[in-house]
This record gives sequence, C-alpha cells and structure tokens, in this order.
Amino acid sequence: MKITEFCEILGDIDDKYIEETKQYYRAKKRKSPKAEYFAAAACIAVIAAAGYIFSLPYIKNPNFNEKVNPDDSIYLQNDNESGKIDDKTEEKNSISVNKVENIGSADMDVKYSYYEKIPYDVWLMVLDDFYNFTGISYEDFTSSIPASWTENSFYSALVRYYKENELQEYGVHDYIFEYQNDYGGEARIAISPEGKPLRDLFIMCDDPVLSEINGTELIIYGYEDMYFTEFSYNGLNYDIETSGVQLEALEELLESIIK
Amino acid sequence: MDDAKIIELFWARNENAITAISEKYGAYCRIIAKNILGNSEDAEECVNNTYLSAWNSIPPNKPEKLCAYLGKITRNLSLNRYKRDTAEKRGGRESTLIFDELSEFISDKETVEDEFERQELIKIINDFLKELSAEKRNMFICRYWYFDSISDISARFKKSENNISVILNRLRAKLRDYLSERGYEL
Repeated sequence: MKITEFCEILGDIDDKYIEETKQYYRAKKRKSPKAEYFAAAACIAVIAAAGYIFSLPYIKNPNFNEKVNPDDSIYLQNDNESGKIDDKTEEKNSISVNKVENIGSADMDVKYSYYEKIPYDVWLMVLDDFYNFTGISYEDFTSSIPASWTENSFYSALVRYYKENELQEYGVHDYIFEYQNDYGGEARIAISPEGKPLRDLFIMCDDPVLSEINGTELIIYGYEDMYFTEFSYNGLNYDIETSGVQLEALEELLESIIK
Repeated sequence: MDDAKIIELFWARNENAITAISEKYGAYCRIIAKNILGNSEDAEECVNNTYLSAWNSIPPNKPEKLCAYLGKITRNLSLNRYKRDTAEKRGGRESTLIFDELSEFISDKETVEDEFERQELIKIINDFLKELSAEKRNMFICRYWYFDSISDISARFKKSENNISVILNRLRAKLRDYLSERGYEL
C-alpha cells in the first residue's frame, strides 16, 4: 500500500476519535495582566499554606510521605495498618525506586499473537498452553489482580529459537497482560519462565537498589510517570511496566502477585 | 454559533455560513494544514479550499460533527497538496518524518483499489483505536491524523519527547501486528 494512501484511509477514522483528540488543540487564551497577577498571588498563598501544613508535627511521620513521584529515588517502609503483631502480617515491604533519566527503544524480532475474538475451542487451547507454559492457570492469575484493574488485552510474544544450530519457527517467549485501572493508569505484565521477559526499550541504571515485597526481591525503575518492575517469583520471571500509576497502586498490584 | 445553526445556514445557501466556520474552525483547520504542509501560505490556501469544499458539499451532506468533517476535508486537501509538492521535490516537513515512520510497516508499493477492502481497513483501524487507552489513542491521532510534531505532542501530554517516541514506536508495531493478524500485510 502507498503510504499516502494509508494516511488517506487513516483520515476516514471515526469522527468521535477526531473530536476526542481535538481537546488538545484548543487555542490558548492569553491571560490579562490582572489575571496573571491574581494567579501569582494565589500561587504564593498556596505555597505559604503548604509550608504551614508541612510544618505540623504529624506530617513529619515518614509514613505520611506521598509515594507518588518516581523522580525522587525514595525509600519507603510500609508498616502494616493495625500495628498489631501478627506472624502473617509482620513482614514489611521496602520499595526503592531507581530514577532513570532516559530510556531508548530497542528493535526486536518479535511477533505478537493476540487472543481476542477467537473461537471458544481455540480459547480453551490458549488456556491450556498458558497453564503448560507458566504453571499457573489463567483464572488463578487474573483473579489475583486487584478489582480496580480491568484487563484490556492478553497476548503472547513470540521469538525464533535456535535448535541444533537451526533457526526454528516462532515460539512463545512471554505471555502479556495489559490492564487499566479506575484512574486511567495502565499496567503491562509480562510473564516468562524462559528468562527475563522481552522488553522493547533500554533502561540505563548501574547498580540498582533492590526493593522487597513479601520477602521477594525486585528492582523498580522510575521514569517520568512510569515504573518498570522486574522480579522472579515461583519460577516465573515478571516484567511489569506501569504508566500513570501511583506507587501505592503499584505496591498493591505487586502484593497481589507476590503473596 | 452552534454547529446546527451553521449547517442550517449552509442549507439555506447563506454565505454567513463561511464566515461562521472561518471564525469557529479556521484556527483548527489551519493547524492541520500547517502540520502537513509546513508553510503558512500553502496552509491558508488549503483552509480556504476547505471552506469552498464545505460550501459545495453541504448540502447534500449534513455532517453530525462539523468539526471532524471540516478537519477531514482540510487533511485530505493538504495531503493532496503534499503529494503534488513531493512530486515537485519540495520536502522537509513534519509529514516527511511521519511518512518515514509509517514506511516501517507499509511497503509503499501496491494500491488498494477495492472500496470494500478500504472500508474493511477503516473498520479494523477503528477497532484498533477503540482498544487503546484514551491517552495512547490521542497520541496516535495527534501524530498520524493531525500530523503533530513529537515536540508538540510532548508538550500536550506532558511527557518527554523520548517517551513519546517510544510510545509511538510501540503503537506502530502494535498496529502492524493488529493488521497482520487480520490478514493485512501492508
């Protein structure tokens, strides 16, 4: 197909999507000097109020820190809610986000196989394959994810393997779930028993600090509003990428997987 | 003036309709044309042709979403102008970069003659867009429908240019696989 032709075809997409995106094209109205003065005054007032609030003693409790911004390399000790001593809940999580300044795309020879709108008998085969590959059932895995997350997509990443010096056909390397939470945040969970799940971007970080969830060590990188988490648990390697998700929600997600 | 009133003016063959769309959607159409053509003079010409085309097509058409209707006309006219200019070797715009990106999965050889196949492709692309999150869908449309630059998208979505490039790269790969799974090797 000609590229310009493809662009023309793309031009005929549903009007609702064009309208939806138009919100980003609203002309910026120039503020009057008076409005700018009031805006500046309002900012100063907010900063002063915030200064006062954060000077209050109860805010100095470290557990009160906002756990949102991946820009700061932070170390959080998350105590259990009640403070009661309980063998099962005594374990603490420690989360350290390794700030990353830059990421880069990586080209990979990968094919993706999407499991959407497939006949029921094929879907049953997919479930069998998933269980045989990962050792956990699709239902067990998906039901462990918190209810605030909705599954958007489920697919596998396929690569070509070498066997007896011969390049084989494409075979499954990872199973991937894509979720969206109630607040518009997204999570992509890749699982593989065959080594680290494939990642189509580079993360440059020397000697990353480890985190720990329920006794399992993991590495969390932070880049803009994204977190990249990698760990191994019960013989499976996980790679979880989130965007627009607060650290608390990530922690909850990780706890649902690492029990 | 609301869109229904403007369309009434078109149907009454009242020339105030042109003034109304120029006031309400002129800037919007100008952004689309400028993104594709890269210069204000050519963009202005395309926007004026958009008004003329709207005048000639409403009636018989009665667009439900006037904004998208005008945007599509501007986009088509600008792309036609771009093709003509490219034949005359006038390049160096954002659209050239975007065509380079698309060339990663489009052969740029055969043409789709069949209207049925064309409509099928539009449907698949709509399905693909529907499955994306709103933010990613908007980024994709900003780049490949509105022909926005990476730096503009970066500013609009408050993400770094690097991050936007990575996201768009993934969306292109996802669309390629999505089309391929449905039997379209472009």
